[in-house]
This record gives sequence, C-alpha cells and structure tokens, in this order.
Amino acid sequence: MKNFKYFLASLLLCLSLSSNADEKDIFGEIHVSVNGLVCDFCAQSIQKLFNKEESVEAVDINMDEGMIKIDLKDGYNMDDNLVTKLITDSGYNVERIYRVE
Amino acid sequence: MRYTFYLIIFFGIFINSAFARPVSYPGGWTVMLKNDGNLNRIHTHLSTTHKLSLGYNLEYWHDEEFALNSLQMNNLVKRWNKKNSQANFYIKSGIGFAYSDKSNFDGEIKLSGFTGISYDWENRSYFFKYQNRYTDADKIYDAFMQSVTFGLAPYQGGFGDLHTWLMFKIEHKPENKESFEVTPLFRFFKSVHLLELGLNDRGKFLFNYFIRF
Repeated sequence: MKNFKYFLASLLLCLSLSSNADEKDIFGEIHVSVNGLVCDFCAQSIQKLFNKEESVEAVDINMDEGMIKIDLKDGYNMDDNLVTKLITDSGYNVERIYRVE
Repeated sequence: MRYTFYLIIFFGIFINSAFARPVSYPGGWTVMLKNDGNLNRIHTHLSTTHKLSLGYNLEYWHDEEFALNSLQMNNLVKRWNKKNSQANFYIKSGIGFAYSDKSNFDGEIKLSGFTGISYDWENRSYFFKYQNRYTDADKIYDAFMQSVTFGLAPYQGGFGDLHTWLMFKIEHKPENKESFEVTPLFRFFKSVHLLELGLNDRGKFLFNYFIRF
C-alpha cells in the first residue's frame, strides 16, 4: 500500500511536470491572412500594436500576399481572439489564422 | 442658420464620439503639416479607437487673412477591406475660433466651425480621393470647397520600402473667381513618415509632411 502511494505521488508529479512543460513549449509562429493590406504607411499600425504585446518577438508583413507573420517568444502563446482584436484595431479584417509550430 | 450649423457640429461631435471608432490605431498619435497656395496648417490628433481621432487644428489662410483654431474630430464611418483594396468614408468636423488680419475685420475673433466628408479608395497601384468641407467663421469667412485626387504608383514596394506615388489634385472653390486649382504632386512614404511635394497651376508650392507614432 505504501509503495502504491509513492507510485501514485510520482505519477501525479510526472503528469504535473509534463503539463507545465506543454504550456512552456507552446511557441512558434502565427500567420494571419488579412484583407485591406494595401498601404505601407497605414500598415505600420500592425507593427505598433503587436510589438506592444509581451509575447511577440517579431512581426513581418508581406503586402504581396496580404499576410502577417507573428513570431512568438519561447514559452508564450497568443489566442485567436487577441490576434483578431489587434488586427481589427489596426484597421484590417482577418481572413484566416494559421498556426505553425 | 449659423447657430443651427454650430449646433449640428456640436451634436455631431458628441454623437459620433459615442458611437464612432478611430482613424489610426488606439493610442496612436499623428502630426500633419500642410502648406500649399491657400493655407498653412498643423493638425495633430490622437486616435482613441480605430475609428475615431480627436485633435487640434490650426490653419492660416493667406488670401483671406485669417487663422482658425479648432478642436477637430475625424470619424471613420465605414471601411471596406477587400483582398486587394481598401476604401474609407470619413466625416471630419471642427469647432473653434477664427481670428482675422484682414482690413475690414482686423483683430476680430469669431466662433467658427467646419464639417465635411472624405472618401478614398486605393489598391497598390491606384488611388482616388474625394473630399469636401464647409467652413463658417461668421463674417470672416463662409465657403464650401471640394477636391478630387488621383494617384498612380509606378512600382509596388514591399513593407518598409520607400513608396512613391504620382498624384494629381483638383480643387474646386465655387465662391472664387478662378474656382479650379490643379496641383500635380509626388507622395513619398517610408515607415511612419509621409511627404508630399507639388506645384500648382498658379506657381505655388505644396509641402505636406505627416508622421505617426
């Protein structure tokens, strides 16, 4: 019975660590296809707003493809609602959000 | 009639404030310096949301010899974002005081206001804009003006590149004897800086500079 308790405690500890590790490992890139991306001067607002976010490492804007690439810092994530809000506040419409791990 | 006009602007500002959004991005400041054959102008504003900006406008009209000090509101009423183009419809209004240098009204200060609409459409190669404005400064000035601007980009730069536009602006002031004025101009922008240089058909220079931060 005592061994079983040790086993159970170890199992829970491992699961807990594993769970934390998963959260820390959520990083990568977010690619956002947007409508209305035709003016460089206006699109500066996208960089201004995303760069205010702690989770953002870099923002790259491709006007030819109407695509915004957001590099996240290691250990950070950004949910779709926040991505959509920041794009809308910048003056554009989100067409689609892609996740790249 | 004049007081009705101010009343419309007054309520327009507050009604729009309640329902409208900003012009730049929330928290973004813009400073615009405009100089052409008609006036010198500085307009600075803060976007409170992505559909509304509030700011201060100071302008001096050369021929009419008066200055306008106004609190200005720019309201983005509607934006059309398409895959390869964007269009915007704005209402711009201001209320403040006019000060005249002109002989008849020298030293006079009058309540003033202006309001107008602006529509623009652009893709990465072509640009079109129409705007108008009605300005009322009591006895000092009272006029309607409108303009159209066409633009052509000779190349499509990427994000962060220097962008160049060749533009053609036609202004119409029905009250003036020579009511049309034509200004070919260059527009350059890079990063948060935008510069316009032109020369109108009366030989007067145009110099505009905008910065956003």
